[in-house]
Amino acid sequence: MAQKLTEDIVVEILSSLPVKSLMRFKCVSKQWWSLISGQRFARLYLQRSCNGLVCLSIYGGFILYNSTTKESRNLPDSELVPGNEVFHGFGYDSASDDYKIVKVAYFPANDGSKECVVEIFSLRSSMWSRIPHKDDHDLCEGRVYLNDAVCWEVSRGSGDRREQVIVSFNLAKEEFQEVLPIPRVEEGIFEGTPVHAWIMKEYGNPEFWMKWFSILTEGLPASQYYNMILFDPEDRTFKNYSIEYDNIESAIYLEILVSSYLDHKK
Amino acid sequence: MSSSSSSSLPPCPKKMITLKSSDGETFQIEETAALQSKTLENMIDENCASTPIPLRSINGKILAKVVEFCNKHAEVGVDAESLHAWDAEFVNVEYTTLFDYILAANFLEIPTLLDLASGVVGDMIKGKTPDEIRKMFNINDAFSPEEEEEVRRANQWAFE
Repeated sequence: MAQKLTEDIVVEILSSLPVKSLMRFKCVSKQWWSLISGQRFARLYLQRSCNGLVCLSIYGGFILYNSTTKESRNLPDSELVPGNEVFHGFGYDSASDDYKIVKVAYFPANDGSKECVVEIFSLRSSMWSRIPHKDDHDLCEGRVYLNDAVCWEVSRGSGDRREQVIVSFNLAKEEFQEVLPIPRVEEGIFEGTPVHAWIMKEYGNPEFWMKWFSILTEGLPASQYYNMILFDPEDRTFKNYSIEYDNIESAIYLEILVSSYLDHKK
Repeated sequence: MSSSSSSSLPPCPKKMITLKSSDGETFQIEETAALQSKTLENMIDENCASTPIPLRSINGKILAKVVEFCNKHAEVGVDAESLHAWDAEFVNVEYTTLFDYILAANFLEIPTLLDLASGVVGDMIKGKTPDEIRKMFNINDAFSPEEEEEVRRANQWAFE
């Protein structure tokens, strides 16, 4: 008969399992049920997976959704009356073990420039707060969550000197932090030109931008609608996920157990 | 290395550590290989390693394999691919043996072996039913059938 494993070791083994297996294993025993349901396990899992919830912006608020466990929680919007341009970001702050929504809104100022207001929602406190903000970033769409920060593509300068950079908003320090240049690409992107992907080998170090792969767009599945293609850079194959709508946003998603956050109601 | 140079230089002295299993078998392991275990490292640092180190929770059969693992992982010049293949062969054993590896690696604090063996157990169990899991893990604090049904209903999607 197998030796009995200690609770620590069981947690170690379970933490590598997909959420679906974990939910099934809740009925293995009372001990396993409390291990898998417990805050301690959820947090352990969280650190490893980093980010797993999808935050959806709806009229008058937000919905936080875990599509693995199908749990959701409604979150209020801030008091801020939105201007013409509002950008949202969502991510995990490991320093305070909290999920945060960042809202960046632009208002036309009297002198014709734009005034920028930044507000943050903390899932832990269930509250919005406005943070002092000096930098003047002209955010574009295309935010990404990485390393405890939400990153946006930003345009800087004007005319010939106009350049695209990546600006990151640190969720722990609650401030705009790094500005990273984006490699200059000469060719325009239109049908028939190759798509180039670059990868930053060492996070934060622009010296480490390297060309990752290039693919020819010819031969890729295309239709009159927006298409989603899942490309595997390892074996250079792609799968077609045709979605017949012309307004799609996608999010990176990992299976994760964070029901404790969603249960937590104030 | 040529024979002339090896005869002119004294052989590099390799510091050996002796480990003693729960059933009294002794094993020699080079200090450099033994340092992969944080538990042994602490003992060596404290100079407690002059006599055989008794490992009362690990039997000879398992300790032999752990020593083999540490030796392999301390070898110089092994490329990642062949080490990966060697590891895969090493953990190609019954789950009961994997549990023994895990317990030994946990006690000796050898993270590489712990991660390897728990990862394999994880892969092994992820598709299993709760009943199979109870048998494997020798679990006896199961829910009553009514309670189990309730937990099952609450997580129905995971059984589909």
